[in-house]
Amino acid sequence: MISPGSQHIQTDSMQEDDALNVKPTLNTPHTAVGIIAPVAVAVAVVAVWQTFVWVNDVSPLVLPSPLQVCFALINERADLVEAAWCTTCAALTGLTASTLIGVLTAFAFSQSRTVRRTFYPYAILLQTVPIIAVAPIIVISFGRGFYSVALVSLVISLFPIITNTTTGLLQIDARHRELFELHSATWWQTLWKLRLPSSLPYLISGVRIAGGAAIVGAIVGEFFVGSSQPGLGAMIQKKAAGIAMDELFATVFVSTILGVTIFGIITVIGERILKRFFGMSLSGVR
Amino acid sequence: MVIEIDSLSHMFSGSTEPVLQINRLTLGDECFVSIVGSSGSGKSTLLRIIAGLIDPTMGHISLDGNSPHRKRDIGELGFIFQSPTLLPWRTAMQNILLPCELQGDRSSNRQEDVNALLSLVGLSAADTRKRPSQLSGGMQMRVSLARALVTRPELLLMDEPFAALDDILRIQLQEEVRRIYCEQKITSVLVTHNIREAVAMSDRVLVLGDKPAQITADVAVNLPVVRNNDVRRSPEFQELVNEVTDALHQVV
Repeated sequence: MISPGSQHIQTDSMQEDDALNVKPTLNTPHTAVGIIAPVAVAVAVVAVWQTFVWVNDVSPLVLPSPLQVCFALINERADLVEAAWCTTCAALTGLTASTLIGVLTAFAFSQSRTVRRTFYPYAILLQTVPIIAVAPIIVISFGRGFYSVALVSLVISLFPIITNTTTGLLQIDARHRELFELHSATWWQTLWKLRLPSSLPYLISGVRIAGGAAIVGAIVGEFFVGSSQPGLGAMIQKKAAGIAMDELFATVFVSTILGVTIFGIITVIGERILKRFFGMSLSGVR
Repeated sequence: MVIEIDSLSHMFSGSTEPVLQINRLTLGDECFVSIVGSSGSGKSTLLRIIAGLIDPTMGHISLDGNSPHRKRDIGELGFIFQSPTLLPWRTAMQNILLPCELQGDRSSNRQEDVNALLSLVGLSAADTRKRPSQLSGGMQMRVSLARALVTRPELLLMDEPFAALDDILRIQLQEEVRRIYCEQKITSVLVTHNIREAVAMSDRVLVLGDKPAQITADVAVNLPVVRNNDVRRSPEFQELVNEVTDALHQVV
């Protein structure tokens, strides 16, 4: 990573150097090609899909055409917007809780190797146990409501925040540590003025990964909670049961857009914070 | 500040051979001393022992009769690292004032003191509002220098501070650090592998041998106090550079 703490020496011709060193990354598709190419792929896929359905006269019960999905999106827009809003609320609640719990857990992990070695395997469990198996247990234990959905979202989004923030709290630049030691900094000063700010890029990176996962978790939770919680997950279940394929595809499309939007919003906010306070980009955090 | 080293030896953990062995060394008050040696010779380890950042395995070191830890705790040591080592989320001014914050010393924050310090290291008020990523390498190093001086230290330790800078900037900053030394009379220890830099900045150059690192030559630099371009081009300067180079060659 660029360690948040380590600055490379910048010459007076810094801007020229930066211009020469622009590297394409997955995170920042600033160039025209970076935007046009994925859009072109999407247009091509939709065109092939529409042609395939037309040419083969595929039944809408098997595979609806993109046009039919568009019509379903328009017809069902009110329900889709309401469902997306419910899912967003549950996912953001889960994400907020996982951020708070993740940061506190990471802090505990960073303070003691024994604590880290004892509890880290359980943190890994969060990542390895399939959410599809955990969700019904949560729903049965906590009831068919909003908080069960948020809890599923929390469980799936917790791990990246714990691992990233722990890494950030532990990976302090050796010279920064020496600087604080040289001035007889207390434990609290080192935590507050060095460790926590240094870990911020890692936390942002973790929240970005967790954001998409939180949406997936909320949808899976809603899938098991059913109609008592009118989110996208419940809607997917309802449309699948009713074999309304065009509306099912429309719901899946909205779910995808929601995940991408949350990821995009966190990326934009994270990039702004990192650029302003660290002079770096999210692509530099690894 | 007088630095006295007696029977000092240091071994890294897991190693059986000492990396550093100095029988007796005294660095006088208000003196500018450079320590030169090849890469990995133990120069930085010696500097960190003087700063109290590393405790030696054996031997004794005192700064004006006190332990480095004691001097460190009361803010009498300034340290400049190889890179500026600024906290990127803080403005230049917040970086400069960090040692005062950590040591709870608000007296150094008086505006007139800070203004005098900025003027001393060549920083404008506008520069101090910027974050490190908005400053050039030279400006970052000036901020680092100001941070090292903000507690008004009696001993300034420098660990190859100009190694990453281009030639023009390096010479410019060497002259400025030398000027600050002349004005403030702070005992200064510079670790470098650049022989010309050592001669240009110091009153005394110590050559450090390898494995274990020990003082193999002690060269007095009897040049004018102000080391301008004329001094750097003088035959006396070149003679001293040759003398240190020869001493270093013998070690290598």
